[in-house]
Amino acid sequence: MSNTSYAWSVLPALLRGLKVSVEATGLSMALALIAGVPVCLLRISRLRALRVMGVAIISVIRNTPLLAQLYVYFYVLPEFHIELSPLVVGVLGLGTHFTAYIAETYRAGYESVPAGQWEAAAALNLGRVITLGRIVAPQALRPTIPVLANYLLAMFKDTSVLTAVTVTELFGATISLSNESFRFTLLYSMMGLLYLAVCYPAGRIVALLERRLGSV
Amino acid sequence: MTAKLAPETAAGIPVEFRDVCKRYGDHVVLDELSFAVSPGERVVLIGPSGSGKTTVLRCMMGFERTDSGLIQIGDAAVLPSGRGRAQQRRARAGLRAARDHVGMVFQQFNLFPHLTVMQNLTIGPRHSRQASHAETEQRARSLLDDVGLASKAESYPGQLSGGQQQRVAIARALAMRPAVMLFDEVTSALDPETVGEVLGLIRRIAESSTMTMLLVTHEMAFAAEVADRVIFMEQGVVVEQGPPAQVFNSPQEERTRRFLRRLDDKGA
Amino acid sequence: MHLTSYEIHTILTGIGKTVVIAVLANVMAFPIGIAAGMARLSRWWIVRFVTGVYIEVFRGTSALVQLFYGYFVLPQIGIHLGSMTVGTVVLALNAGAYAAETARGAIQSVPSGQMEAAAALNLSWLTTRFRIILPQAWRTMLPSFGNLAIDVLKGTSFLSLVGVPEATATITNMSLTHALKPDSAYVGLLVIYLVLSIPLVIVVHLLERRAHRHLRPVAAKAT
Repeated sequence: MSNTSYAWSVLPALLRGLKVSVEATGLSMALALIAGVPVCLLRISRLRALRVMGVAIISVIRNTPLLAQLYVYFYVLPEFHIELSPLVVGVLGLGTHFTAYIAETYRAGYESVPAGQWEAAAALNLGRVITLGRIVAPQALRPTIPVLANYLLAMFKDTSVLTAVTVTELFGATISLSNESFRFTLLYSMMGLLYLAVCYPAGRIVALLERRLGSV
Repeated sequence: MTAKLAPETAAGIPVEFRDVCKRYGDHVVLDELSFAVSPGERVVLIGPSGSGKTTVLRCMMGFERTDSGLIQIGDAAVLPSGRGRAQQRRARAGLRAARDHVGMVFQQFNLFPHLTVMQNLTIGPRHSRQASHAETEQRARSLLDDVGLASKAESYPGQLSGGQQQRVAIARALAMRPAVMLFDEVTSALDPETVGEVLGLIRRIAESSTMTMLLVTHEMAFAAEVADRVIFMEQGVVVEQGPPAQVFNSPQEERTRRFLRRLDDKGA
Repeated sequence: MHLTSYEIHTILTGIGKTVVIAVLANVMAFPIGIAAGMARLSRWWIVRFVTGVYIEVFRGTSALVQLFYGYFVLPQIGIHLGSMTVGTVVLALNAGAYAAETARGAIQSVPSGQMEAAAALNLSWLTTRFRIILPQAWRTMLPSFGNLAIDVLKGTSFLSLVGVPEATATITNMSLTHALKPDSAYVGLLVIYLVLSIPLVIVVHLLERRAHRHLRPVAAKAT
C-alpha cells in the first residue's frame, strides 16, 4: 500500500504507544517527586553518616546509565522472587533515576533560602522542623518549579529507553512496526514528529516558567 | 612632580559633533547636538544624569549608533545607522578609523580579568600591528612605570585595588597612542581614598601630552583645574560652554545656575 | 563466579570500546556546542535559524531515538557507516545541542563592558571572541559541560541496542549465556560505569580549579 495510507493505518498504534509513554512519565514523575523528599533530607541531614548515605545514593544513580539501572530491576529482582510487570519495572527504574536529580533540585532550592530566614525563625524559637515546613520549604519551592518541569520533559523523552525492558511505548511500537514493514524512514519520521509535537511546546512552556519564576 | 609621561602620545586632532540626534523610543537623548573641540583641547562635559553626556562619548566609540548627524574625529567620520549595505560598510570603516584615533577609559575599568596586567596592555597594540613585539612590550613597561605600577606587571586585575585597576586601564588606553582620550566618569566607581591617585594621573597626562581629551566627570574641582573648556549639557543639548572660570563662577544661563546650586547643596 | 580469561578479555574490550566512544563523542561535542552557541548569537538570521532547528531537534528527542534514526534511516538514503561511527556521531550531536544552550548562556553572561573594552582597543572580531569572551565564558560553562560529559558516557550504553559490543552489550551477553549470574552481571555493570565516571569528575574538577585561579573578588577596598 502507498506510504500515505500506510501512515494512516499505523497512526492508532503509534498513538497508543504515545499514551503509554505519557502514562509512564506521569507515574514515574509522581514517584520521583515523592521519593526525592527523603533522599533530599538524607542529603541535608546534620548527621554525617546520613549525609554520606544520601550522597552515595545520588552519585550512584546519577553516574550510571538509566539502561543499566533498568536491567538491574528487570533481571535482578526476579532472582529475589520479585516478579513485576515490565511497565512497573519501567516506572520504578525511571522514577528512581530521576529521584536523584530531583533530590538535588530540592536541595538547591533549600540552600537558596537566605540564612537570615533561619536566624529569624530561631529567634522566634520555632524549632527546626516547623521552620523547614512553614518557612523555608514554601520559599525554596518556587524557583525549583522550572527545573522540575525540565525534568518532566527529560523523563518523557527517556521513556523510549523502556523499550529495552519490553514496554510498548511510542518508541517500542515504532520498532516493532518497522521490523514488520521495513518502512523505517516513514515510521521513524512519524515517531520523531510525535515526540517533537509534545516536546517542542513543552520546552517553550518550560522556558516561560524559567523566565517567570527564576531558576535555582 | 610633573614627570613627563612615557613615549609620545599622538598629537591631538579635532572633534566635531554636527546636529547629532539619538533617541531611545520616545525618549530623546541627543537633540541636534553640536559642538566642536580643537586639537589638543581639554573639554569637560557636565550635567545632570540623563543629560546625554555619557552618550556623547559612547557615540564617538560606536557603542551607540546615532540616528542622524555627523561626528567628525580628525579624518574619520562616525555615521548614523543606515539601511543600505554600502552605507553600513562605510559606517563600519568610519568606526574602525575612529577607534584608531580614540582611546577610552570606562567607569567600570573593564580590564580583561583572565589576562595579566602586561597582557592587558599589549593585546591591543599587538593586534593592530603598530610596532614589533619588543617595542610593544617596552612601551607597555614604561607606561606601567609612569603610572607607578611596574611591580604589578605580572599580576591579575583581581589582585589589584580599584584605583590600581583604573590606572592600568588608563595605561592600556594610552598604549594605543590615541590622538583623542575619552574618560567616562572614571572615578565614580572608586573609593574616595583612591579617587585622588587616579585624578593625579589624569592631571599628569593632561600636562605632558598634546592629545585632545574629553572628560565626563562629577569632580568639579578637578574639572576646573584641568579643563580648557567646560560644556554644560541638559536633555541632549549644549546649554552653556566656556572656560571653567566663567561656567562655574559666573554662569550665563539659569539652568546652569540651577544645576550648580544643586551640586552645592549636596556638598559635591 | 569463575570467568575464563577469554571472558575477562571480552569484558575489558567492551569497556575499552565504551571509553573510546565516550572520549571521541565528548571531544567532538564541545567544539560543536561552542560553535553552535556562538551561531545562535550570530548577526545573520539564517545562521541563527538553522542552528536553532538543530538544537530543538536534538534536544526534543531522546538520544536513543536519534541513534536508531541514524542507524536505520541513514542506510535508506544511501549513507552506510559502521554502527560505532553512527553512534559516536549521534552522541556528539546530541550533547552538542545541549552544550550549545549552555555556551550561549555563558557567552551572554560575560559583562558587556568586556566587548566594549575590546572594541575600544580595535580588536578584531576573531580576537575579541576567542581571546576575551570565550576564556571568560568557559568558566561558566565548565560545570554543565562536566555533567554533559558524564551524560555522554552514560549514553554509550544505548549503543548496545544497535549491536555495538561496548560494556553494556558485553555484560548483557555474559548474563544471557550464563557466564555470569544476573545480579553479579548487572550490579557489576553499574560498578563499571561508576569507576569510569571517576576520572571524568576529577578532570572537570581540575579544569574548574584552573579556570578560577585568577578570580579573587575584584577588590575596591584596600590598596
